[in-house]
Amino acid sequence: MPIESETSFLKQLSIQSLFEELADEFNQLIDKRERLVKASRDITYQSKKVIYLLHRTSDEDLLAICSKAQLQLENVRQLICRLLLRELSPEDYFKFHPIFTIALQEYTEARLFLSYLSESRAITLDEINAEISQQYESLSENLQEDAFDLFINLISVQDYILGMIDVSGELMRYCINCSSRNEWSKAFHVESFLRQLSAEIKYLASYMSRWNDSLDNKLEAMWTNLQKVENACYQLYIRHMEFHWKEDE
Amino acid sequence: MESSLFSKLNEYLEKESKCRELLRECRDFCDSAVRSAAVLVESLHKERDLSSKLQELYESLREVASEFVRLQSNVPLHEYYKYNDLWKSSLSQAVATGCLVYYLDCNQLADLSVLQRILCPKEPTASSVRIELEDYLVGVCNLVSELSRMSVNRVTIGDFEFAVNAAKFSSEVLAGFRLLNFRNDYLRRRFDGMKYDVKKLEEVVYDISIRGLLN
Repeated sequence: MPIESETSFLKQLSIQSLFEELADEFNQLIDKRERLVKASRDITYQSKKVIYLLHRTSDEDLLAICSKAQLQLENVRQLICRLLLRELSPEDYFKFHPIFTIALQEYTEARLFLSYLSESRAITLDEINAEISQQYESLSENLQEDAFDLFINLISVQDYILGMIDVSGELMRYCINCSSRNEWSKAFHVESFLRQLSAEIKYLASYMSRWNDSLDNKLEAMWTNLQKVENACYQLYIRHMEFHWKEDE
Repeated sequence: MESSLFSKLNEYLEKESKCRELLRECRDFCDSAVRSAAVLVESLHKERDLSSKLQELYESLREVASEFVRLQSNVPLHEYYKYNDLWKSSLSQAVATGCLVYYLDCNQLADLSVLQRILCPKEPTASSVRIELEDYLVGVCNLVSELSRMSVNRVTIGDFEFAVNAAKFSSEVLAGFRLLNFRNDYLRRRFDGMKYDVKKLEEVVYDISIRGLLN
């Protein structure tokens, strides 16, 4: 009898101490997740502000707004480097990816919108990632060798494509604003750009539906955005013909 | 808009989808190995001589491990977590079975390193299969609920000792879980369910002791 109680005491101790260790590990994991959630929220919020800023291009000078946005995006990149990159290793990038993918999509969206307004094109994924890695290099003196791969490709193909789908909403809003101000050529440029974009993305989407549940909704939204833009351009054209054909005569 | 931009993305996605397809096939092999181990476990409920079955059980777990080794050889570097949703459920089933076999063998709770040795015996690399802390904890929850079933069944073949040991063991595990700070997620709900399994185990012990079946 005494022997049995002794061994059971040992066993009790071992399960207890095993769970004490696990509790530590578990807390660390949860803390890390919380930090990433917070970082993700900050990055998303700051990126949204840039998008709002870019929608004000009608009120002020386009160039001035774009350079202001460029500056703000640099701040967002600093946030990405300080809050996100520092927490991640190449190995567990995808482990936590679902937590911060929204932030990277939002940043991509803002960056794409800026590139459309300032250069009339979509900035490529490699260019976006190069900007981030430059920022990272300038921030940290002693680079870790193994982090290299990570900050070279921080924004994944998935983030980029989803950001691209999201930017269709901003382009639609921009196009409607242009058409209400009778900025004919800008509106039509958005229309052709957006049509090309959505055609390409629809093609890519055949590979993507498997890993993203929200993808279908997003594609649907992109499709509606395109239709809105096409209708706006149609209205613009009709109005133009109505008021100007008599002058042309 | 340059078309090269999209062809590059397309290439990437195509490669990724092929990789996923391949891993899915490997996962199906893992799944079927895990299922045959589960069938063996099922036969333990009424087996009079448990220790005679242990050899066979370890053998089937080795089978599972070798399928996981084959799977991990196809995981690209640093992309383990990109695909691990595919085999998450089959791994956590394997963890539960591993825990049970280890408990029957040693009367102890298998910790992560023990399970890692049983299920992923190769030297760990960046792409090797690993048991996540949360998956391990879910596996332990499964262990306790399996024990509560098993203890009922083993009482019906006259094995009262099993019920007593299992009840004691499970209440220790429950006490251990109380040390963890859960978030409001799946694991938390599983933990909430565990106390009912422990209660069941205690009731079985009560039933047999009140009838003087324990000596």
